[in-house]
Amino acid sequence: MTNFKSSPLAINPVKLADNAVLGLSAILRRDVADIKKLLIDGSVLCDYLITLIEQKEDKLNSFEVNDREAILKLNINSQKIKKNQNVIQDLLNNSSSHSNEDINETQEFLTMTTMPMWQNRFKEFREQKFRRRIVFT
Amino acid sequence: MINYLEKVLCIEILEKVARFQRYLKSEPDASRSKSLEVINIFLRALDSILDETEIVVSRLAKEVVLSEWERIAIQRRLSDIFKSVDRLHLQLQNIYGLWVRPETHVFLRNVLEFIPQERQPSKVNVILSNMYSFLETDLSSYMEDVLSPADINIDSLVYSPAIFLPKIEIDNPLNWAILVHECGHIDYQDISEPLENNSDLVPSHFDTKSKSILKKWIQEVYCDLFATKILGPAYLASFATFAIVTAGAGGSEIAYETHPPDVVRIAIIQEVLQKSNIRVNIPEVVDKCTDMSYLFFTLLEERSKLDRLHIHSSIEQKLPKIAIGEFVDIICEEVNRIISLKQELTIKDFARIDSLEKRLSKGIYIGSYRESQFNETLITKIQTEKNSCDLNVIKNSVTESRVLLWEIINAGWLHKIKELYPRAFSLFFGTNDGQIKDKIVAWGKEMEDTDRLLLKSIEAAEIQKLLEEP
Repeated sequence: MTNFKSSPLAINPVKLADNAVLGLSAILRRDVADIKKLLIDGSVLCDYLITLIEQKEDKLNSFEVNDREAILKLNINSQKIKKNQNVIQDLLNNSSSHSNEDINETQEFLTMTTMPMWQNRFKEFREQKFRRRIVFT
Repeated sequence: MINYLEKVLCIEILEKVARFQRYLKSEPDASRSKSLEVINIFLRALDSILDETEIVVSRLAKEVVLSEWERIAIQRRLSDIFKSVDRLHLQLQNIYGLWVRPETHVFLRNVLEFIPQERQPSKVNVILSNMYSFLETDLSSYMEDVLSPADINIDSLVYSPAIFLPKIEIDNPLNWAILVHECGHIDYQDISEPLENNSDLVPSHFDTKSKSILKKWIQEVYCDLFATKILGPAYLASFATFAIVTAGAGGSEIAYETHPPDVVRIAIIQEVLQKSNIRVNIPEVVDKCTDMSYLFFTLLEERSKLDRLHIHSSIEQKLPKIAIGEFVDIICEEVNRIISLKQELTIKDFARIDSLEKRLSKGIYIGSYRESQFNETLITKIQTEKNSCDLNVIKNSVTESRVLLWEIINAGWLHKIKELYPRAFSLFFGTNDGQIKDKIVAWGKEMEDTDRLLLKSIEAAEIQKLLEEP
């Protein structure tokens, strides 16, 4: 019997980015209850992005290869990712040394870096929906 | 109202979850322990999907205007959540199903009656589908196609149009509106020639592929206008909510070989409604939107606008090289000229929608309706002008006349905007207290009551129609 649990759960970078954006917005609103997990998601995302850039392609699964291609097209390097990860880490450590502009920039970075990945995933879903229509009409 | 688009998007997706739960619980074998286990697996999967919505629901409950990045985050989360509902819906193949409701057949019969006798199909089959898609096909040729790889030819099959309804929409008449578009495909078979041979629509110098795409688009626009002419704004409302939940990643602006972009289709429908002056008045929940169809048009446009700012999926992507504005103008004109339905809706036909909605809000079904009260003024008129008083006025004032299909569906949509959305907003976003799983049960119950009212209305209107027939 196939145990589907044995296949590892893929990372969803878009979800991690969106959670982190919502967490960062809560900080901007001074509404800081339960945001720790959301910020951790942001940091996990940055680790994932760095892995994509630094890992050799043959060590990545097909989703990761697509994500890597998307991120390389955006001209994003590890330094830029680390800079944003530091903002998140500092906020996780309750450091208030970052301005609202810094936080906004990190939100933009997380959103826009994952946008092509989301587009790829969602495009596939929409195309599947339309393919089904082609089958029947 | 702040964050209206995101709230509507969230409620529309929660509605699908609630309908999914209802469908599973109404499964005929649910009481048998064997099936119950399978159903419980589905219900647990839905619970996990609900857990994913919590972060969105609790943010929307803050009643603080979303920043641009939050809007994107929330819309992306919700799009992914809908995607998971869609994936799970496909797995409904693993359980037994219910039969199609008789009201669905009544609904479709009423739609087919709009088609002139010479083109009217005698019957359209309805099939509950595991896919969350509304589709139309000829079942006979489909079966032939299925068996042809096995080299089996089926003899004497007759054309047998069938429409596919997603299982969780089994008792949701408001979304049956999309079935009317699918009926348009059936009607189109007999009317396609002048449209597809029109060189203004399909230029002769185009390559074969572009011609084929344009012909498919013409058919889709025809079906949209067919549905608009039969249901009015309710069709736009139903289609737009479907387009809004599948709009992610610039999706509503993407052109497919089979379908023009959703934003173009909605714009065409809106323009036709506007030109015919057909509107259903609503309270102004969104700035300057006092018309039902304009509200949903604006919501989809708002969603697309955000995508447009950040996503590069040009509307020209897969289009044949045509001027889209010109194509739209010609197709609207040509369809209008050709469509020839038995009846054309006018603004006069929508005069009772508001009163009918008021009945729904009191929990009264709307199978029939009395035009005016037999009031003092009328009594005086009858007494003083015995001979000149119009008998029809007297008759109408004492008779409950049949409510028509489009009135029921439009009144239902108006009811959703006026009563159901606000109640859902206050339930889910009014407070952070309480579990989302409890809230969805309460919401599901409320929707079930409204569905029952609408189904009862369709049934009662049909009985009234049979009584009125000579």
